[in-house]
Amino acid sequence: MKSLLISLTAAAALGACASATQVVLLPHDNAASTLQVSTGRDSRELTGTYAEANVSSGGFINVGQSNADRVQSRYRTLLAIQPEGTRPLPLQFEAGRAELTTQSRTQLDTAIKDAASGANAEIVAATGADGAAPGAADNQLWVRRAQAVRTFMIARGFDPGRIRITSATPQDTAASTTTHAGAPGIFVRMH
Amino acid sequence: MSTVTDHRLPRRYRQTLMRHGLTWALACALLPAWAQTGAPAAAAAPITVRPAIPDGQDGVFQAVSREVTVVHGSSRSAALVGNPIEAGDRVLTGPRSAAALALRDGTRLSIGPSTRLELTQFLYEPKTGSGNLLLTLVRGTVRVATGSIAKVHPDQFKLVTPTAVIAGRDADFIVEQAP
Repeated sequence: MKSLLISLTAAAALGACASATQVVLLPHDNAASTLQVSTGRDSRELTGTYAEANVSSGGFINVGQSNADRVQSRYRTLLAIQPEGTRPLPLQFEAGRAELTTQSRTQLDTAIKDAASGANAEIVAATGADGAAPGAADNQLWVRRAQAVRTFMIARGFDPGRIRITSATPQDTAASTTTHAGAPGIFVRMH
Repeated sequence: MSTVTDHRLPRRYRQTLMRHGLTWALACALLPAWAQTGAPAAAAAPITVRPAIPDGQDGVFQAVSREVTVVHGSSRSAALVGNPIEAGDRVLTGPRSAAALALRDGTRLSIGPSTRLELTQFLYEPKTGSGNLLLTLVRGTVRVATGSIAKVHPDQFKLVTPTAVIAGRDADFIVEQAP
């Protein structure tokens, strides 16, 4: 009888500690992305790629760290199916100039038409400098290219009010999410 | 956020860029484009376009693998690519089955095998990007890439399981709920 009671107690304790809910934060282009995991008795914040939380059926939260291999192995079927949410397109600029190549102008034109025709379409663009000469001049080119994309979009009839050019340091991205990032439109982000 | 109005970035920002080595990462990203076009150092910048969802629909199935069922009110039907999903609908997947959905606010969902997920609440105002999104995961796995609602008002997005509440802000994450 005593051993039965011990077994039942142990089983109940294990049940309370067993992970009922697991949460893992995946890589994201917003380095400031966070998750808040809460239960009736605990609350934890997840920050950083592959941070994970294991929530017991008793409501206790244990925070740990996973990695790409473990996530891929555990969620193979889930990760194999992807919403066709984004269509990556390369945008090319003429070397050293803030001028889109002919091919990229055509690609961007098509993307703008797709976005303009959809109630919820959004273009997220990242422009860059050539990187050959990092420094002030390179950064100026970076900015001019972002502005060139914006100008191109406006010239094609896209609403200027739906376009924002933002920088993308972790600090700046965190700030941007509270000010504009959710509105449907075009964001020219500089990475 | 720093809205760009000048040709020259603030010193603080330039220093931050250099400190994080982003310029060099960008240079690495340029190499494939350079090799492909033969042009000297033309920058390759990614651009993405999200699909539009027809007016009046909360979301749409974008991919379906094997056995996926939608429960709408008292009716059950097999999910097909292009089928709509509405607030209150439940999605059930069988073993080795999966589905991918896009919601109107840009939220993307991947639903794994042996899962029961409910789109409990969904309200979205496209002009402001605000709304309310509540997902209920009864069992199984779901991957969520948050959309406009979680960006504009993070407190208006929640995923609940029998044991936890997950609130995300501009995040991509997986939740697994044991049966």
